[in-house]
Amino acid sequence: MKNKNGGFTLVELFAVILIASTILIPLLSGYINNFTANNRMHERKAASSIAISSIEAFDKINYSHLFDILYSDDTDTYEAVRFDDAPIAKLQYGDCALLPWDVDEDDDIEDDEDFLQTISSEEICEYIFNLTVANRSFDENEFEVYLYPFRMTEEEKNNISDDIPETVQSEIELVPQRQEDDTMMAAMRITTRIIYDSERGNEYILNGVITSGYDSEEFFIPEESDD
Amino acid sequence: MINKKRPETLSNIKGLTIVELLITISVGSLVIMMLMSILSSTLFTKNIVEHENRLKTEAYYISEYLQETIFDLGVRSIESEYITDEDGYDHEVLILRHEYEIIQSERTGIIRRDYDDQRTYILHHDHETQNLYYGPSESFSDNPENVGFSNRSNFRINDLQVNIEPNNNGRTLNYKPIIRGVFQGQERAAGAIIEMDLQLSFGEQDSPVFQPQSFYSTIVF
Repeated sequence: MKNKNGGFTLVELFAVILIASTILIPLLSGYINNFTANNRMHERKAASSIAISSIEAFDKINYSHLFDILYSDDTDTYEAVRFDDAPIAKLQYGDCALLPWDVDEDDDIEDDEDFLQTISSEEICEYIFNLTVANRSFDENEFEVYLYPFRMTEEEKNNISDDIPETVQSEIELVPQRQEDDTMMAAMRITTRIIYDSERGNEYILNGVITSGYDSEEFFIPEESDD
Repeated sequence: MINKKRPETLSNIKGLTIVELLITISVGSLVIMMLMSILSSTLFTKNIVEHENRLKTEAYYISEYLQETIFDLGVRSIESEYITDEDGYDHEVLILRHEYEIIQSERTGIIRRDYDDQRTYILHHDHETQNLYYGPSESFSDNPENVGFSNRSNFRINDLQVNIEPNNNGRTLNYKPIIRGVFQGQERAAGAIIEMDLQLSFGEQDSPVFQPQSFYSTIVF
């Protein structure tokens, strides 16, 4: 009788734990996976909403200021955001200081009775990179914007920097070819890249077009000098 | 005489002892209790997640609805105004002037922008119904006796998707939105930021089923 009431052996105990674990682990992992998938879905939703907002809001920035980022001769100022050999620029939160803080007088709406304050390009830029949807915003490492011409020459496309993420490169490669005599650039393309799940490298890419809003010939690519 | 002696094997079956039975029951109970507590916490968490999802969906919907309307019609300027009703409550309304109206030709079906028709729209939170409204200023009354839109159901922008899953089981969805324009020292601006802080909850307003959740969103235009 004493031998029979000796309790469970260690092997029996391990067997029970093993069986219980075999049942519980798949249940719990499935449970956790559902939470992760649900969370990722919300992250993606927030990323898509912010990407759409950012492209719309970039269109509110004075076009000539964005034009300067791509084409200005002042290479020292814009060196940090430009890529070599192709007119492509990458903007993040910290780059907003490149845009003017002051508001141009032309930006004010003149036909209104009272003076209406217009937000400067730098402020709009900062607000864009701080966009929040349902408590979710993306930081400097997760949210970046690429500016590039509406059309590009074959040479420019061949010189796309390898520093640009492949997903963005593939979008830029789809840009229609620019003819030699086509120099008017009253529109440029914008690609927003938001990494909403850095663990898995999931990102949201959205393309758009920004126009000058004027039917003027103000925006030309600077002619190359002979020397 | 037939030998009715039982087979040797059967005579050895003695059944479980009381100690073995008790051990089996207690171990079984422990396993069942463990599984039940996991099941119960799973169901509880699932319920919370479903409600949170529903609230988040609502927050996304309101934010995107406003965003798309503002972008589509090209807001030209924004103005903030307070209207005090007869009960002394201050209604903050945002007045948004659009650049154009989008019209569709009846003959050709072509959609175009009509710059001669610069509509003024009003964003209003009615503190009585706890709903958000966005509609043309012509339909909005600033009469202290009845501040708000004349036909509210036409301009309500929240709770339009009541059938969205998960079903809220007939519970009312409460809104306490705090919406304000961010202006640079003035009450009017040609470009602005709208900040929205939506306090959403299920259940009666004073006794929500879950803690109200706050959803902060911004719109830049």
